[in-house]
Amino acid sequence: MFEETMNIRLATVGGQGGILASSIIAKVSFEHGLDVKKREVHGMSQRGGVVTSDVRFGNKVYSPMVPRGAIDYLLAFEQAEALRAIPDLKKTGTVIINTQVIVPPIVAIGKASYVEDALTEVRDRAKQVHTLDALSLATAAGSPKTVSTVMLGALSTYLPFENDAWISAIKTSVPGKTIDSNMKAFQSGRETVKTG
Amino acid sequence: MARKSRLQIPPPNTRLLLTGNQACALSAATFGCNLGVGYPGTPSSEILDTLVQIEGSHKTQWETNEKVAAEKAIGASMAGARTIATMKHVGVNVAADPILSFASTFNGGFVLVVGDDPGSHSSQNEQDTRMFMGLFGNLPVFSPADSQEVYDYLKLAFETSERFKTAVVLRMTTNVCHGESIVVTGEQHEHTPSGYHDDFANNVVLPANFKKMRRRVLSERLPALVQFTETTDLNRPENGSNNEFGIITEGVTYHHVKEVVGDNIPVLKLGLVFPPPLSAIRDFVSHHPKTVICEELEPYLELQVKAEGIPILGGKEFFSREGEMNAERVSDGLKKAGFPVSSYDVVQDDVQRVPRPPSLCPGCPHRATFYILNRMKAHVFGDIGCYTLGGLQPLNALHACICMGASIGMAAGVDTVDSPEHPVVAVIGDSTFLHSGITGLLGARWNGSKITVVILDNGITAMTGGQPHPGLEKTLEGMESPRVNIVKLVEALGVEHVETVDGYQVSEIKDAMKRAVEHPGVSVIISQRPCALMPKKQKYTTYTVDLDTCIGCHTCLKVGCPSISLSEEVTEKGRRKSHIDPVTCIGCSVCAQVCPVNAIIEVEAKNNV
Repeated sequence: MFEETMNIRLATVGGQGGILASSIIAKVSFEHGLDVKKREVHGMSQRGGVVTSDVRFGNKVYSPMVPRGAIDYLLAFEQAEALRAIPDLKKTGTVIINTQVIVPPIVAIGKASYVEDALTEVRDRAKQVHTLDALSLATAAGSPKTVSTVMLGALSTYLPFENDAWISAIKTSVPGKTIDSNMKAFQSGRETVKTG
Repeated sequence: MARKSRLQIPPPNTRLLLTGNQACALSAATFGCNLGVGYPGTPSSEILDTLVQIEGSHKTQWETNEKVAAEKAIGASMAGARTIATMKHVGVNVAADPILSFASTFNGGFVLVVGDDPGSHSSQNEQDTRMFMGLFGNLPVFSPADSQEVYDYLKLAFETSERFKTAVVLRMTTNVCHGESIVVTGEQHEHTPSGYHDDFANNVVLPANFKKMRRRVLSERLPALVQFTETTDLNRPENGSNNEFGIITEGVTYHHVKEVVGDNIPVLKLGLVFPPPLSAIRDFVSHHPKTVICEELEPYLELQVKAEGIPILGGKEFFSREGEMNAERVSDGLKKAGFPVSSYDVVQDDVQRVPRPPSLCPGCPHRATFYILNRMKAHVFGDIGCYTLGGLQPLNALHACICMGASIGMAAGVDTVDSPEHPVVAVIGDSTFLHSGITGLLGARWNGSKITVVILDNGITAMTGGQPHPGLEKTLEGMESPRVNIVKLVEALGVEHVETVDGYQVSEIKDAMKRAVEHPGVSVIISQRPCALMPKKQKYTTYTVDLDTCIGCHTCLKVGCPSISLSEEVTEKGRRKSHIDPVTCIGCSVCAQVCPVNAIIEVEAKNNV
């Protein structure tokens, strides 16, 4: 089942919880007994910049970085970030995209422009695209900070791991008092896929 | 405050998912490290951040800079302890003086743990520590490829250091430090320091002693290390089906190579890269007539292999010296060298990439200072920290930046030979000032420079994740310790004009700057206000835009706060009004202070209207 390495990229903006989300994916696959590698870039990118994480799992994983054109699942937390990562999507790859737009300050001051209709561009380049409004779902779950958990909920429906494995990985990764909102967020992310 | 030990050393054969930095910390704690000491620097910072949380008798300390950290580790080594000194690659430059002199002595237990940053993700440059500490410093260099190897190699590094009585280097890279992979733990090993004893002949590197040590290093230690590197299974050939070809590689590049070639092409995988096993390499090449060296950054192995006259196909002809290696670059290089490998799909890469440069956080206490420096048209010499971001749009108020602590010296240098029309200002953070700014300020004062130094005191080492420094009242282990008084310190250096300001008060900073630049000698302004995020998130009364009052002048956008954007509301002249994100605004009030029509008001005030 895991002969081929599974490649997941999280395309996020600093502060969205992308690094924690990638750790949770890695943890779930690790608990499944698989070989796992994860990489991300810390540092300057944390200050509102681009944060990209790669998670790879399978029977044997070599490079910690997803190679060009090899992303199986692109988990994009923001529209322009989806577009930035899409050239690395596998031909058969799936995009799960939060429709949230985070306009960088450099655009606000008129020194750059935001991309026009990113969603259409993503759909033009990928066969399978699942969109969801993770920010609204997170807010409804109790905290806008659970965007990353909503995204994990959506992703979880595509991956061959038990629901309980996800729930236990999330519970042990998030602050204690946020468990309830994270559980709701995870469930609402799952339902976006299940209900179509 | 009690030391916050939370993590237990797991029993042998426990399977864990760890970053390289966590694996390093766990290995140190498991294999008898008595002292972990360093200065924070991406990608190495989390090693000590983790070590301090692991239960055990070891000591974990941040030091004032890498040089002091290395010196402390040297002392610990002379007392027979096992010790790691952790730092990033450019930190090794700071620590190079003690390390390279210590390298002549015969002491054990000392491991320099370095995080190199190929691709300069969070650094001012790319440096190859294999070159610096291996080829130049003659120190054994271990180069792990993943977390398991970090864990195993640190243990071996301690043993090698003790066996050969030499300082040893564990050289990691960003991908190894921050990458997570699986570690299976080993049997715990306690180490009791043998105790300190005077040893004049070995520990005093005056010329007469040095000459004898140097001879022993070259005639005894290095040959013994060569013997070791030729026989250790850290340097191992891996079979492949096509023996015409061969690849010599090391570090995380090994995994990129395996990703591309699998078991098709034989690989010589090196784990101990200084001294390189030249006989083993010659033997490998003799069996694989078309061999290339695939290594990240400098042609470190390649130069030594070529100097030895070993007939390889090449190295840097195929693989760039720039940036981080990955599977595509390996594949492209191997194809160029005529290897039978498949290439990765060339993808349609014509998408628009929205620029998203990092910026000072909402509520950052540095923002107002840079806003004023921009207005003053000052020539600003910057330093290493979050505040380097003050040089980006729209603040544009940092014009030179080289390395830790350099801002003051550079500003003084310009002042010595030129009198620019606008003020010459150095900006430096509190941690960086205590790291290596003090001596620069003393020199500038002594030599009569007419510059203004702004110490941005946010009470933490913020850029690297919030580590404490001597300006705080506690150490890494949580021990209470009186904080250094930066104002008195600056006064003690002989600076006559010293003022403190609140980092959030725009006119206070403006007035203080005006007085400071008029002072005939060195003037110092200390901007005090805690970091918005660390050690705890700050939240004051937040602000909102009163759309009835906003005239769409966009002055607030010039403070470069990520919380401020343009709303859909427009003025009569069609100019878009401003909007403040209520979630990310922490209420620093800087935008409200610069608004010419008082359209930015406290959220509570608005609710009361």
